[in-house]
Amino acid sequence: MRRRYAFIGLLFTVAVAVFAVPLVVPQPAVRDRSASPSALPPENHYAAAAKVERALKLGTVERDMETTGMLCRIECSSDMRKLAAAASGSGSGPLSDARKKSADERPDVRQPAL
Amino acid sequence: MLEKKALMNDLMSANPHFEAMAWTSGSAGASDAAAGAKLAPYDRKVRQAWQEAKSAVRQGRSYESAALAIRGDSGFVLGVPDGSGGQGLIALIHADAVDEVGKHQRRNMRLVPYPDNGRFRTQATEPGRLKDKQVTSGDANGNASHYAVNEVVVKLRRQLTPRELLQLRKTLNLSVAREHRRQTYVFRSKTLGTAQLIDYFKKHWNPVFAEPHYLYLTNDGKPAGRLTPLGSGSPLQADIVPNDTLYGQYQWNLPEIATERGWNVTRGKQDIIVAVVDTGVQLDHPDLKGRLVKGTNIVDPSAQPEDDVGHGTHVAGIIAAEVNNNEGVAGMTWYTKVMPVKALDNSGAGTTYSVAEGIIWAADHGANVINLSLGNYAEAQFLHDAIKYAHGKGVLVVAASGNDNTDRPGYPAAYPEVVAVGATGSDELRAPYSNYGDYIDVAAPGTSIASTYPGSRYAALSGTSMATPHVSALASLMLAADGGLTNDRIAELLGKTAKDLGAAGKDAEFGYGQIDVRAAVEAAAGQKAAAAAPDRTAETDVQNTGRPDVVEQRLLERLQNLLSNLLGH
Repeated sequence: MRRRYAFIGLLFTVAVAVFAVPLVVPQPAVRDRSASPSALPPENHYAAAAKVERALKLGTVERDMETTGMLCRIECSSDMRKLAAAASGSGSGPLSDARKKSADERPDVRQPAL
Repeated sequence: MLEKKALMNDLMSANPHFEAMAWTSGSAGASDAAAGAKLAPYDRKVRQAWQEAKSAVRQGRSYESAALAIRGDSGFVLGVPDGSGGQGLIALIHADAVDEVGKHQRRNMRLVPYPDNGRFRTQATEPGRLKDKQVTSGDANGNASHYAVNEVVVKLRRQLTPRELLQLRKTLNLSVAREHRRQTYVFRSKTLGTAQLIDYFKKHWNPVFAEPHYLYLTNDGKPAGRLTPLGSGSPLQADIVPNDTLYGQYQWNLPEIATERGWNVTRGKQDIIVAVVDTGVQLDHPDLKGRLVKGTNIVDPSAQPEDDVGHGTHVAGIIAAEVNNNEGVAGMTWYTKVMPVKALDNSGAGTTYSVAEGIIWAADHGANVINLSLGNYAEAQFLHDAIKYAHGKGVLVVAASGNDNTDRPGYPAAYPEVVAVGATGSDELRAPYSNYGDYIDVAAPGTSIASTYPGSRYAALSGTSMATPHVSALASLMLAADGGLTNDRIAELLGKTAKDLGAAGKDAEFGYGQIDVRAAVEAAAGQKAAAAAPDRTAETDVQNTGRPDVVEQRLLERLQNLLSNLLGH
């Protein structure tokens, strides 16, 4: 009877050991694909870094395009305001300045009304 | 109405991106005057936006549409009332600059293989070895050095006689593509490759050097305010805030490096010239035309140095776009002149020969500073000779480090006679694309920089190409503060006055730090005052910065950095 209990105890210990060891000892062969670039082998590290760099560069290009669009809107709007002011005769922009200068320099030339 | 139409036509001919324009009156009738393209062939969304703009203007409101597609590019409709009630202008704008910038920047950032015309090969990463490297992606393009197929640059020990030239033509099927000062030749062969040509000349002619003909690539808010009279106040004068349209909202780069404060010391001088060796410059850009001196076109000597890419115009604007003219952008200087030297072709690339010739031409024609927003990873003796020549004439040469986020030294930036520039963003961090290494001298803003662009337009570009002209412009301001400064003294002061970023002291990411305009021009002006005073220390200091010593010192410094980096790893 005592031998039987000893056998059952031994079996229990072996079973615990079989299940518990994998939890304590890390698996050697399986790589974590979601690991940080520094945990990857050099070629993968390079590829990950290149991917990040490419994304950053693409972001820079997109921002340049977006900003250029904004510059275009502001500058075009400014040109149109100057033209509108000149056309309505109230402006002091380059067009009306040019008209004034032209009128001063060539009083013999009639300036058309706007 | 005819006069209004004439005004609109004038605006449209000066700014071709305005495709259609109309003046609308307060009445509900048709537009009173129209100019440019008819609207009928355009997309329904464009015509709808036009109607909305007309309606808004008649109600005295401004109108701005969302982005619209025009022939595959971006566009939009604007409506601007004239303020007198119910009248105003409507315009359809083809914002093709946006798409051009996208294309341009994908090349500058090496996101696509570049150039792609097949006339060039790329060299493997080991300098001096002609081992081909397949360039199929932007990443592969990054660390490669391009050279012209079937060409070689040879510096001989004497000039070739006509008989010898004929002999070469006959036996090797060679032609002289270029000849420089009768000793350096660019030979082109119909049958031999670059490696074979180099072997041949090394074996039979005992040349000073024989090397590939390398290719250099482009390395692409505040409200309007008052002006403080120059030199009228205390050192704590208010900032000078120019009234240029795009300044307050988009030119973060100038306040970032204390340019406005620096303008209290000097705004530049008309007799200081910065040569922009690049893709040329739009010679009649409204924000640049008064600031250019005669330049040259090395690519096509019979043509003007007009910009057919956009890069050079952008670089020039950062240095010298008219300031305080109620238009576009403000440059860093008010009076400095730009000398356009077109050495890069319409693909944005130029050979060793054309870049070297451009440098020599600029040095011979009065440039004080030479801006090189270009680079490659191979050392070329011909280019180095040209730089030494310019440096020997007292010219300060400033070059971009490159946009590949690598510590591999780029040339010409890594030559000791050159001020090498890295790029920063508005966050004062190294820009993610900016190259780094112990050869970097200083950093400057390089991300999302607003400047002039061909077609009388404006664009925002990023790159060490954009950082470099900030340094060139500052050097011109320093020369305006003290015309007696030597090129090496300017380089030294640029570093000494820089704002230390990153690791304390000189580091691989920022060099000595980000340039500080106010500190640099004050130091330059201070040096002049010190030199005027009978101060033995100041005199000694000036003497001690004589050119050869400073170059040696910088070489030694780079060697020390290299050693400490090696030991550190």
